[in-house]
Amino acid sequence: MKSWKAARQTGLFDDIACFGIQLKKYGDKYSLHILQQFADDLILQVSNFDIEKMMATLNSYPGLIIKIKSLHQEQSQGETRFEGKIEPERKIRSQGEIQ
Amino acid sequence: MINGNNGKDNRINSKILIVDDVPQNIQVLANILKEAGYQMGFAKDAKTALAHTESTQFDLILLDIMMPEVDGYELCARLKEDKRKRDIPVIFVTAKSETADKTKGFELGAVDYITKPFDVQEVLARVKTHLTIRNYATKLEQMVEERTRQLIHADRLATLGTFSAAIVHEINNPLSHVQGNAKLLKLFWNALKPIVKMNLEGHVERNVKRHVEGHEEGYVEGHGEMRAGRHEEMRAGRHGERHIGEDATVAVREDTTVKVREDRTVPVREDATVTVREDTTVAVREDRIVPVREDDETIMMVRKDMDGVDEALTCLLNGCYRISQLTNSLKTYSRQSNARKGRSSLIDIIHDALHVVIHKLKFKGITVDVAVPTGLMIYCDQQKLSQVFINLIDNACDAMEKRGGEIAISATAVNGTVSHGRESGIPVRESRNPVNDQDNQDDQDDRNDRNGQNDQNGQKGQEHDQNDQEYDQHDQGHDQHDQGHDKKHDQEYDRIDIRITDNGTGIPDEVADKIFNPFFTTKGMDEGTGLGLFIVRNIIEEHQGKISLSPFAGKGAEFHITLPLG
Repeated sequence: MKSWKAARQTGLFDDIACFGIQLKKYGDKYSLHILQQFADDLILQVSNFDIEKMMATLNSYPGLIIKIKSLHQEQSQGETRFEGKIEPERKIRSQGEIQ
Repeated sequence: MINGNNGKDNRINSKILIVDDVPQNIQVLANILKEAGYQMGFAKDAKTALAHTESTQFDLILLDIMMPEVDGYELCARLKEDKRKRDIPVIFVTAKSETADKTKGFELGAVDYITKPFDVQEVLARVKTHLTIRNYATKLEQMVEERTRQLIHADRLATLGTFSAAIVHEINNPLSHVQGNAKLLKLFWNALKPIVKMNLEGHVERNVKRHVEGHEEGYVEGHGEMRAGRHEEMRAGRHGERHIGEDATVAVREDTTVKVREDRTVPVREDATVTVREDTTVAVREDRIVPVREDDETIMMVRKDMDGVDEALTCLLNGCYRISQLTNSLKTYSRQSNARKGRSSLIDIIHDALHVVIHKLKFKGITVDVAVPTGLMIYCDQQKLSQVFINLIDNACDAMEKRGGEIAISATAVNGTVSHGRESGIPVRESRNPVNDQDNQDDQDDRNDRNGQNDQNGQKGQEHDQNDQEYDQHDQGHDQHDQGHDKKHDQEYDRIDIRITDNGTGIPDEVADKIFNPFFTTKGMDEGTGLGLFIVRNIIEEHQGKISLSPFAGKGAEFHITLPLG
């Protein structure tokens, strides 16, 4: 969240782009499709200087985090029920796609 | 050096804030500036713009005038009220093209005014111009700050110089008293010492004799156990082994006769004896250990320490001489005067410089080898040339990372046909080095003390006196011999080659090019002003000389100075 705040505070396109790239890396690392999608959108909007969409995307970031947390909780409960046999990454991805 | 017009590098580092309530306008401007390589920020309203300027140091603001709530004029005025933001140049980018609007914008502190619709090239040109000016202004501010700091430092040094001159004056007065009286004392002592020594020896001898006589007066009583003397108990011993209860003793070997009163048992009858007391005289040869009286002890101590008085007086005079050398060097260095050229001995100038930096040399354990002909005279401003050597030696000291570095100073007179040839000069001989001399002198003092060469020490004191006189005469010129010597050299040689070499860390090539530039320094902010070598070069050029540097990366450096003999 710190990078998100910093990106909003400085108002520099480069900082927002860096924030998008960072999110993209996390999304790739943990196979979080919704995060990957968010990052791709943000990077594109920055490169086009599409202020309105960029601001909307940035403003939706806290909601995205809440969504990822709830997915993680569901996944944890699912693991308990199925004795952890379901691969976590795959499960999150599938739910993300449904979303 | 100001680097405000350096094309793309500046653009990459420059941050521009675009403030407009219409996102499409921001988009257009951002696309234009992106091509030029600037970093950009944006704000759709005045509040956000102010927040961004708090967190980011922008170099330029492109500001729209017509915005809801707070307009561009108001935002500009607020920016100019804030002392941290007032220096950020503001360019109005607006559709308002009336002269009154432009005038208002400039009055509020804007640096430029671009009307919509704008030409891309015009925007870029104006932005570039104002960023260049902004960079110049920033660099100038930094330079002013730096120069101010250096001026304050220089002023402190100048004040210190004035103080030094006053302190030297204050030290010289009591020093001359101490030195004069010490010399007088030494003269008296030299005359008085034999008399005192003779009297003390006679006094002790008389006391010892009294002791011995006192022992002889007593009777020794008992059966082979003798009691004698006044203060001490002696265990019997016909062979002369005696123990004395006092610490201070004198051994006396002599033949004496001792009266012995003995009780002798004489048989009277077969069953009876009579004890008869009778006096007999016995001849005794013995080593008597005679206690020394308290006053004798003091006298003997004084006699023993008489040599120490010589030593103390010599040390006193040596100390005075050293202080005198140091104060004279400081006086020469700190004296404020206009260029006052004259013929001076190069070795004396170098010695003066070494005395000023001697503490640093000693602290870092640096050895200085000076190979300069003693008769080498140079027409120069002695004070300024001394500063050249001080600065160069001081720099060399700073270049030594470890203890035990070496600095070599050599000088030769050369003629015009030989360029910088060390071998073509007057034969060089090892000359005195004040740094090493003092240590050597200490060693010599120690040796003299051990060997009891007090007379030599006395001579040394006289030598120091002579040296003092030489120092005194220094400003008044040099003697006939030197002048004759110089004339001879002047006929053969026309300039002096001086080399100052150290085995420090060396100077990298990229630094070597700038080393004589003013305010260039590789030292920390508090350690150097960056003016030392600049001053050195100026002084050398003032003397129609040249200075060059041979950096041996990682192995030290050599400064090569050429000066006309004049």
